[in-house]
Amino acid sequence: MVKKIRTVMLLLLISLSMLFLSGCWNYREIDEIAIVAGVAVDKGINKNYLVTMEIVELRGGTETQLLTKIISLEGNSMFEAIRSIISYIGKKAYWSHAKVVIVSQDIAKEGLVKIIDWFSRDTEARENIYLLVSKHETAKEIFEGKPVTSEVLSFQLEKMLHNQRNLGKAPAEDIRQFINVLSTEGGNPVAPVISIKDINGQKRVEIIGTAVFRSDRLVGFLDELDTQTMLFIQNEVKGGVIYSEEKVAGSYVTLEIFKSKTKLKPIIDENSLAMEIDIEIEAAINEINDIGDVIGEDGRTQLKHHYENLINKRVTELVEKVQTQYNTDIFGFAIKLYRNEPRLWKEIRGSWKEEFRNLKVKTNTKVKIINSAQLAKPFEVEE
Amino acid sequence: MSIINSGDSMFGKDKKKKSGNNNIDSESNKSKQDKELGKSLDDNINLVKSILSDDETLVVRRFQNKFLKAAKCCIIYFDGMVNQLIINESIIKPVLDSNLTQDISANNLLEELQFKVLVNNYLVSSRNVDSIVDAIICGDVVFFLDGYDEALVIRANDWEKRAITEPESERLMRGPREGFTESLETNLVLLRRRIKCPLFKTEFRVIGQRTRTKVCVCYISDIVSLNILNELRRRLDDINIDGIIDSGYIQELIRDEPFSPFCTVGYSERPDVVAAKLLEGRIAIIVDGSPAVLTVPYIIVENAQANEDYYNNYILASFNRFIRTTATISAVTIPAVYMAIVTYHQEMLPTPVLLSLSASRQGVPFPTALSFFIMLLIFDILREAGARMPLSIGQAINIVGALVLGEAAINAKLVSAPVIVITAVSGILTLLNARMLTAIIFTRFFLLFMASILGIYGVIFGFLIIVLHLSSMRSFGVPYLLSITRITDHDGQDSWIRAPWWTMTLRPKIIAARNLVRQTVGKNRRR
Repeated sequence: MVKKIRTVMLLLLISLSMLFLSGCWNYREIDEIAIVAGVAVDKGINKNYLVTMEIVELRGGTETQLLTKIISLEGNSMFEAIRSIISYIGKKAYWSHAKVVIVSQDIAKEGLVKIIDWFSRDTEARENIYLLVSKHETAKEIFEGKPVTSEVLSFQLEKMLHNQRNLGKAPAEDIRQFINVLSTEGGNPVAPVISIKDINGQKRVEIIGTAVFRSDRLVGFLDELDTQTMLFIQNEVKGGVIYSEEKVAGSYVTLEIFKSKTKLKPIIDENSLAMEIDIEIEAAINEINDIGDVIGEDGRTQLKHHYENLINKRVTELVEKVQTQYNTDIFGFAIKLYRNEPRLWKEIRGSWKEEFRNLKVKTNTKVKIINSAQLAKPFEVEE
Repeated sequence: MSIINSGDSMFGKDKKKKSGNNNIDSESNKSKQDKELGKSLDDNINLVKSILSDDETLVVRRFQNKFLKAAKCCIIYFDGMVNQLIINESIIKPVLDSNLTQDISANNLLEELQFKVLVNNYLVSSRNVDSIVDAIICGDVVFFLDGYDEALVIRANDWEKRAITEPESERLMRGPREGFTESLETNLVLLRRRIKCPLFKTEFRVIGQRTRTKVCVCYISDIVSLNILNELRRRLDDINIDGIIDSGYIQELIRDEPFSPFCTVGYSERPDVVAAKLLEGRIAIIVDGSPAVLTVPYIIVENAQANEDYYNNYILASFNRFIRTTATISAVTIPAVYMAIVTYHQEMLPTPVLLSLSASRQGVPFPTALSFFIMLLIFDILREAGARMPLSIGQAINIVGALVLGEAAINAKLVSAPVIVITAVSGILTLLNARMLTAIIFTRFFLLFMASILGIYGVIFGFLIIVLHLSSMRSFGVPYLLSITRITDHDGQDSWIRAPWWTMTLRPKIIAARNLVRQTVGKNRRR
């Protein structure tokens, strides 16, 4: 009998402790949550922040309708602003399916850690939310853009960023990566830039370019070409297009990148520090805009050398630009040094800003042209 | 096969029990006559008549030998239970016609009749009034001769029997189509025709004081586990009930874990299934009047085994078995997991799924848990109604059911569409393994309840409870989860999969521990 009571008690205890040990759980009906799709953070007028949420609203029944509502709330902290949503719509915001955070330049210049903290600390919000910087004065005006492929703008933004690797015009960085880069030795993160463009009288969003940070503060922007070059250095290119404005062997040629691999190698002399950047690109001829033969042996060699030189030049120029204009190591040189030359890194760690400014780069690009897509020759047009 | 012997043993048992605490049937015990038969024919007839009084189907036919006037006879039987032709041709006619004065040096006339006159294959003499009355009730003819305190019991019973048909409840594509009937003798024939072996044993007993139902325990004596057999005998002996109408009574009375929804005694209406189980060392219990033959011990894998598995290609059989097992597990867990994810763990859903689920819930007043309980109940109501209804009305139920479970409920915003989909899926999966219906229905409700109070943790916890319960179960001493927990050696050959016949050289462990080897593989076998 005593044994029985003990077993029952034990079972009760185990099942009771489950309530407390199971972490976050809560009973809530699926239709009683306000699903937040995206959020924009601006500076507030009366309080510190103005948080604008894009909330998905569903009209059920036989025909499902997906609508969105934009709600702006002020608060002295992120969480204060976010929780006060109850005072406006009566539902609690549900963050697990939020996809994007757009920050205004003002906020980004002040430092993003204050914003990010809540996203990585809160149990609902996920760390794979994409982080974007608005090119406009405020972040919330991005939500005025009309989505094309999805009823919800934030969901479209997520797709745009997710497929960005096939384009390479903007970095696709989520909050976790942002934090990771921030917490590495001498690392400085980047973020994609979002803006609104007027296309045929409709406001459309556009994600092109890079926001450059020094630590967590915004210091400047890179255009789309520089962004691709930056991604080459960071070994983040998975695909995309290389186009040269000059004629090669009598044709304008566009290459499609299939594979790209970059290796950084610090070169240490007695007094100087240099970084060797080896880029290996496998690309294919995807478009030829003239009759010059670039597919034949000669033309191909010319093409190869042209693009190798082009990328070498772009890399050198970009590094120089970043060194002089922003002086922030967004390429991950520091972490490479830290890993490869830990002793040296210890010495120069304090003066890394100076060292970075004077760092020489040596670029070796190798372009391998693997095919010319479905056509073996350029079109020959008789005149 | 001797009905009188078994009848005698029953009375012997009753006498023993009279001294005990047996009060169920005191009146019928009182009516049991201690009287012996007398020498007078009239007295004997009156004695039987008085015991079987108020029964107008009792037929008492007196007749006399043409030649020997002293040979006054009488037969007593119940009308309708005997074959008229047998009585006329093999009892009355020989006794009337034969010249008894000539042929018989009548020292013991009754014995002479028995040996030389009566044309009948089954004939026993008896002095016991009780057994004589019992024989009349069972459809035998009792023959009295004047001047003898002994009667002859002659087998002449013949009543309408259902033909051997394919069982409705267990259909198949390939395999023997015979099914058991309500007649114990026919069922035994069906089994014997499959196992022509002198070691196939049958043990008869009579259970039920009023129904006096014949129960036959069959086994193959060199394979069966003696412990299991003795335990079964003990449990059958323990039954003390007024009537056994179907084998279901016995199934429940002898089972282990009486409160568990999982079966621990199996049944089948197919002789091929029962024969196969006998060959694996199991014991069959045939109950007169029931086409469902019980088999013990019964372990959980048997729920997933279908007879067709063994007749079909082993690849298809293994695949089918996989489908059956996953279907059963899914039928139990799908509503609970859906419930848990939708009400507790929305973050586990992909965003598009979340949106469409959320849209379908808009404007639905009842919480998901409640609508699940209601829909599952409605499904079970429809299932029960469909099973019990006459075919013509069943159609109407189907149509109404489809409407209730379909469009109308969604349009009226009483439940959301996914709940109906899940209910329907779960319901169909249940029917895939109709044998486990009770277990599936109750574990499903249990898990759903756990899910609605604790989310996915509740499902896991509930599932653990079920597994613990199953692993603590025994059927006649055999672990219920035998041969599904280990797949090495020969254990897994006939559980999750059905291995090719040439590899299944051993019978199931524990059940047939005494004689494990089922086949030896010939050297010339090509593989």
